[in-house]
Amino acid sequence: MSLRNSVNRPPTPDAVEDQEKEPTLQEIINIKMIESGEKEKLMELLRERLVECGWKDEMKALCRAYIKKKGTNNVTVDDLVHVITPKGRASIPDSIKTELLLRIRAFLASAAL
Amino acid sequence: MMSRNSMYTNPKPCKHLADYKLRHGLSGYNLLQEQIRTTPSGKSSVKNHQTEIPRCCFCNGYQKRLYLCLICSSISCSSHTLLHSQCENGHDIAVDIERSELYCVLCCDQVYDPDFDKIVMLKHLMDLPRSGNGVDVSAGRRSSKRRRLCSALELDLKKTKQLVSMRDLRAKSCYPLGLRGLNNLGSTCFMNSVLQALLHAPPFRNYFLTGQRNHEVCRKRSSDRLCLLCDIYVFFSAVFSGDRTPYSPAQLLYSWWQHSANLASYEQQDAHEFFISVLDGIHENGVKARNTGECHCVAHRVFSGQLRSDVTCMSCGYTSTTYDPFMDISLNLDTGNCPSTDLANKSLKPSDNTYVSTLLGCLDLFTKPEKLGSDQKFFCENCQERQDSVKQMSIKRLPLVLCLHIKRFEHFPVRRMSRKIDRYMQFPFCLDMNPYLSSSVVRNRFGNRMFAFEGDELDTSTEFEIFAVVTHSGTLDSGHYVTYLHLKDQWYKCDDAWITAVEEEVVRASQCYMLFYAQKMLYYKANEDLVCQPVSPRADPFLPIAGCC
Repeated sequence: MSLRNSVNRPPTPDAVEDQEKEPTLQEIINIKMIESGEKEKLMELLRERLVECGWKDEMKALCRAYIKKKGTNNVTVDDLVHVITPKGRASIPDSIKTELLLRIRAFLASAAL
Repeated sequence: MMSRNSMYTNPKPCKHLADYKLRHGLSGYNLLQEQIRTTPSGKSSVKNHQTEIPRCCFCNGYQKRLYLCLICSSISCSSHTLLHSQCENGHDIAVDIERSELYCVLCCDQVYDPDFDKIVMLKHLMDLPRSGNGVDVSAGRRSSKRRRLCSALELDLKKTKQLVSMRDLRAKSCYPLGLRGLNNLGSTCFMNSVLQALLHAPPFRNYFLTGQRNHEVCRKRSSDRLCLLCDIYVFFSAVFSGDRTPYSPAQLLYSWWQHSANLASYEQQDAHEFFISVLDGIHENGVKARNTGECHCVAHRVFSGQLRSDVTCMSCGYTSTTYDPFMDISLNLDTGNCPSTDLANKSLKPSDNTYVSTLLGCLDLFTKPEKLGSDQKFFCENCQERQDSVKQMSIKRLPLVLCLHIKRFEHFPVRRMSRKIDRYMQFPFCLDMNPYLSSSVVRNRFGNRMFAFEGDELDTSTEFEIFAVVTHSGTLDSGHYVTYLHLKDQWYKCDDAWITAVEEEVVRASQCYMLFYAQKMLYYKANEDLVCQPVSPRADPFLPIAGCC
């Protein structure tokens, strides 16, 4: 009696195992920052800086212009996010990027990663 | 409790949200309330544990917008929300966990539900320390509102129709009633300019013209003492008499000197200072204020409003709120400068030289949250220590006539120097004060939730029309004040004794110093009654009118 293929079939890998690759450095840093509460602080700082330099107002104006062009009933939040995101990312002042990078570096140094 | 939105209507729920509400009611929202985390700055997000990292159940991603399904609590990222809805029938409504905002998966759009916002706001109220939270669910202070409406009606223009019969036949031009040049008595343009504005402040004008000020029974005058109110009454009668020859307000000047002895001189004074001083004089001379509640003198009834000041502790969110009355609002010019951009850094705005100051910009600046410096740390009642805090101003109650003063004179006490800011400021003829009300400002702090915030008043109008602009030209020491009046769709330039009709472009281009806005309804009613007197067919149309061009 030949063994049925189904018995010899290797075990089906769990969905979980598939995703259990080695976490990247980026992920490790992110996890550490969230756990220590540093991420929350940096997000608050970022929000504050973006308001101060007028970036938020600029984005608001872009959204308004887009909505005006398309008509209020023809725009969804998803549309806006897709349209604004590239412009938003591109127009972040360098000083803010520098400041945040310095803070993250300081955090890494203190967390001894 | 139904939430009231004073100036806008609730957006209608989409079909999917409506279905969800029918089937599940508020159960999903209520369960969610436990997981909402609020911050002192007014933000709210959905988090089970402070340090958990929510991930999409399909791709394990954590970097996109994440949505929590209201029915099964599974989390999907923006790419996979649709997939979740397809897998599980009816799981269409989710919550953006970073922002606590409702999202409809099938419409791919944010949706709104006052019941949901109520749940979020209640969580804020529960989390904020004690009663000093800056957000009050008021039952509506109707009694004071009714009193104010009655007061406005008393100053109604109906009675002024009687004036038509008292029109002086000497008036020959077709200019509206009450337009008369004022002679300069020696650097008194500061007084003339403000008087022109007061002459045409609708409720103020009506008070004096409808004989509510009965100067015959004035106790002061009968004992031969000076009475500022009587002098103003006499002044109004003279200007509205129909006589167009320039008038010399000497008696009024003398009366005012008696009241403000420190300003009594022939030197140039500040028009704004004069304005405040005159209102103060009227207040002191007028009806004695009751100990409780508002003063009922004409100055207060017309010009007084209420400001709200919130100081919020950045640590715990405790907000200390105080209310102060105001007769006018002094605004700093908005210059578009942001504090944190370096010179070497490429800033967003092309260059500061092209930024135009606007009145709305100044009002935005006035109601903007301001971080108090480290030397001004506020003692937080809740934390019981000095903390970094944020201060924000807003308008609790608007007056019938709003006087906005632009701070153009800068004083440097250290350097003992003063200078004038000549920067041009653009201003609108129609002004909607809604965004600067306390209800709007506080609502904005919590993410524009559909919730009845304190001060939401449905029938209070926030629309104003401009009727007078006091402008200044020249330097701090030697300058000249000119007033532009807006009467019946025509602008008039009042330069001491000279009154000329001008185009609105001239007014728009002028350098404004004080702006006078009246509540829209009062302004339009006032203008209805300012009947243009027709030129008599028998009169010589080319007869020159002294003082008017």
